[in-house]
Amino acid sequence: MGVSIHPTHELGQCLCRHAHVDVRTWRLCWLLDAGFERGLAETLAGTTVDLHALLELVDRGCPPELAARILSPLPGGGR
Amino acid sequence: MTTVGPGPAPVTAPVEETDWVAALSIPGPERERALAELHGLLLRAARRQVQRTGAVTRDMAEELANQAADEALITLLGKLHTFEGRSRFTTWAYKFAVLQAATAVRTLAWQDREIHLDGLDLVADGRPGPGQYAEAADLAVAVRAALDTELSPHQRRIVLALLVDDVPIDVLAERLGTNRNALYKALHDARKRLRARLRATGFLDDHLQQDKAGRS
Repeated sequence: MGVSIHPTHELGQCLCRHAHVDVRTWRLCWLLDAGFERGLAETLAGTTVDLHALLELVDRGCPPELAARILSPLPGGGR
Repeated sequence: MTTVGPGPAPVTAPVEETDWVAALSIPGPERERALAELHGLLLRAARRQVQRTGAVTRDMAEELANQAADEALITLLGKLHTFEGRSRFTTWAYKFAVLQAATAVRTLAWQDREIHLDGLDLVADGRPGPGQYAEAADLAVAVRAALDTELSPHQRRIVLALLVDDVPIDVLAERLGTNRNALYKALHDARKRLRARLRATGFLDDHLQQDKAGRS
């Protein structure tokens, strides 16, 4: 599967790029930069979801919500 | 009637292979004995290495070997915690002495030689000229364009974080909740794309690429 070089959605803006922030804020920042809607970004930032895998899916054209559902941990604790 | 004799004279047993790290770590008579035995081993190794070079007199060889053994012992003790048991301890230790002795001989061989730098005049004046400034500016524009046009948004963020902002790959992996291999793969793919673009636009020579490919 090829990787799209064009964002499929409008990119957000993060204001903490050069500041020292906690990991959760950093992940939130990364997701907002990637164009995630704030509510979804805040939810994902506080989890252990693999953002790299998530954003690779998004790069390939997968909608953010679907990518998040694909990579969310299973209820039993599996992945 | 059984006569109980004095028995065999106590013999100092060599430190067992598995005991070296413990013996050298815990202060006491056992450590002193292990240090002495280890120094003897390092000295023998250093002597052999110095003699192999045949570049110094006998007296000088002994002095160099002693210095090398001392240095090797200090270095080894500083790295004792890194011994993983992949080889025999004595084999591992031997390498410290060989390296130290080789360095000592090389240093001695060069200490009275002058190093002429006349041939490096051109290199010494390494300030770029106007032409090189222009080329560098063109290359910077090309790299920027390649980053913008050839990479996906996430690839671009990975490249900027790792290569421009110098974020350690372990840190980035931990924050993203992924592993280093995944980031290495992403970085590899991104660099491949960038190189292809720079090659296509004439900023990277094909033969340089082939050389790199041949080495990797």
